[in-house]
Amino acid sequence: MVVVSKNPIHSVLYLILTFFTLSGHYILLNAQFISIVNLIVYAGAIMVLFLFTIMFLNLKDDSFVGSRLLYHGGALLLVLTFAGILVVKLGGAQIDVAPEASFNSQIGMVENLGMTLFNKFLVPFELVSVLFLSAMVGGVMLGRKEKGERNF
Amino acid sequence: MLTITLLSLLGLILLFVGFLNNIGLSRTIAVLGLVAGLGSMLFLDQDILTFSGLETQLSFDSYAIKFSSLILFLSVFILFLSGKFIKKDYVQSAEFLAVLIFSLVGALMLTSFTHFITLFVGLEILGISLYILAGTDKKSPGSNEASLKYLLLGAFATGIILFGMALIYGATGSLDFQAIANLGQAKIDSSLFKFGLFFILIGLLFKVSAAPFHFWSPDVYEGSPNVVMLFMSVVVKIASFAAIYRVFGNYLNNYSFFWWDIVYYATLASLVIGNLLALVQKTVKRQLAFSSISQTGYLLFALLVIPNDQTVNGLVFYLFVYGCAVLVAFSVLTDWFGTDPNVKLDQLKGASKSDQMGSFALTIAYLSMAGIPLTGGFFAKLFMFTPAMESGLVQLLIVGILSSVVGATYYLRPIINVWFSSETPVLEKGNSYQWIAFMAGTLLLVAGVFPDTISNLIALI
Repeated sequence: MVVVSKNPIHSVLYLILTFFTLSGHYILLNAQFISIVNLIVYAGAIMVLFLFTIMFLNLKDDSFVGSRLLYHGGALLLVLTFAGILVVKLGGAQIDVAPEASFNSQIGMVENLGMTLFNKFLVPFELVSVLFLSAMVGGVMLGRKEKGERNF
Repeated sequence: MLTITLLSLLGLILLFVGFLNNIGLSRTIAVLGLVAGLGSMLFLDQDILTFSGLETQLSFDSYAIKFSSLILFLSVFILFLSGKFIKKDYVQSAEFLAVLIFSLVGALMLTSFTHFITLFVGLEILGISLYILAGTDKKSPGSNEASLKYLLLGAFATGIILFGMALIYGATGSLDFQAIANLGQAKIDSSLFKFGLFFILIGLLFKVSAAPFHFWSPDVYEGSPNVVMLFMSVVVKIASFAAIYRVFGNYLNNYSFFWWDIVYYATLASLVIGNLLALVQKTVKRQLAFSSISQTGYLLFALLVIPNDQTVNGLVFYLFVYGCAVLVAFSVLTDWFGTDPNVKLDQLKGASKSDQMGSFALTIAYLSMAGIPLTGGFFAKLFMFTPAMESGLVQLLIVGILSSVVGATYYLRPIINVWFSSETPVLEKGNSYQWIAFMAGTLLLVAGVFPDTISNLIALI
């Protein structure tokens, strides 16, 4: 529904629905904290940002040029081929199930997540801050107004 | 580990130094920081900052130190060369330098990861910094296009790698490379694992710009500023090769029967496509971009042979020589044409009349890229071909040698333009970067006449 909706606002609303289902998956995978964060950050904040952007841009749906059939047909063919390969190959794959004895329902809670993040994965966690800092610096740099005129 | 911390802090300091609006000072601090980083990499015990009990998922073994010190060594010169570009009044110099330093943090992580998480964070730091750097020439539409194109394609490649990691985690329950390397047969045979490996290989081949995943590189190289293209074709190439060799040559070499064929055909394709398409290019940068694809082909030889220290040293030697050659070419070009991003091959005609030294250095650089004896490029190619010959990859060798013959023809075109033309070119008279060309050119000749000195040095680290 995200893809086929004519109205971009509807697309975003359906995307929020998709995030809710994703959160459901996280809960099934025993990752309660990530599921809640996913709802707050993605479905809550980022999607509102998306809505704002779309309303700012004021998209018209008649901007589409070219043959719809060709695009849709091509996309469908690609998706089906890829899905076919995945189903055929992964159909026979053995996926481990968590053993009953060592199963810990608390593993996805904030406390355990924090313990892992700040003990075992402290260094990568800190280095992610370098990643965000450089992305932020770059965003500000590229978006900033500079002296003189811009040529485009 | 110490070096990575040092560089992260250096980037932060540079951002604050930017308030002073003193470009010379910022650049001096950046260069001093890099030299300090290089020193700490080479002379200090790398475990010095690793607190006991802290798992870092990074390991600065001799492999990592070789690649990292090469990266830092060449970056120092690239920082010097960036001078002309960052002095333009619409380029934000402090941010440019800071992002450049941050991208080096990513590059160092790519040489030293032991875990998928550090591989991924490294790729992202390097990648995101590069998307930004490619767009720093804000007034040129080409630079904006390059940045956006690189962002879209690079994000897809990262997504593919991430998908591969998820599949491998699903198959093995571990993201640690050593643990994955020691798996039992049952886990390896699962389709999940094979698919994961396949996706990771595709993503990394994209990052090293091997054909058929090379389409982004000529456009991005052409559009981005000269310094950034130099940075991409030298530092980023070294870092991504360090990563791909560390994953597939080091850790997952036991599973070579899954990925060997893919790498083999990617090598063939890179050699053929890179060299043939470089023949018809009209601008210097595009020609260098396609030549960099063909060099990727030669470098991928290292993945196809039995991995040992010899192969690693050959790889480092090749990257060192190639990096020096591109450095010479760009320092001469910056002297001649300033920051003009679209120098045509025809503009080089007759340049020797106004700058003999520069023309000589440029000639050495191009001869070295072509692999002519007495320059470093010859031995670099030899060190790549010898292990391949020992492994009996005869067809690959024939393609490699034939394509380097094709390569020689297009590398000779700029040389002929420079020396044998009656035209008089319009050149900026600047000799500010001659010393870089001179130094790197000397290194190329040393590598060509006494290859043992350089390769012993590499083996020593």
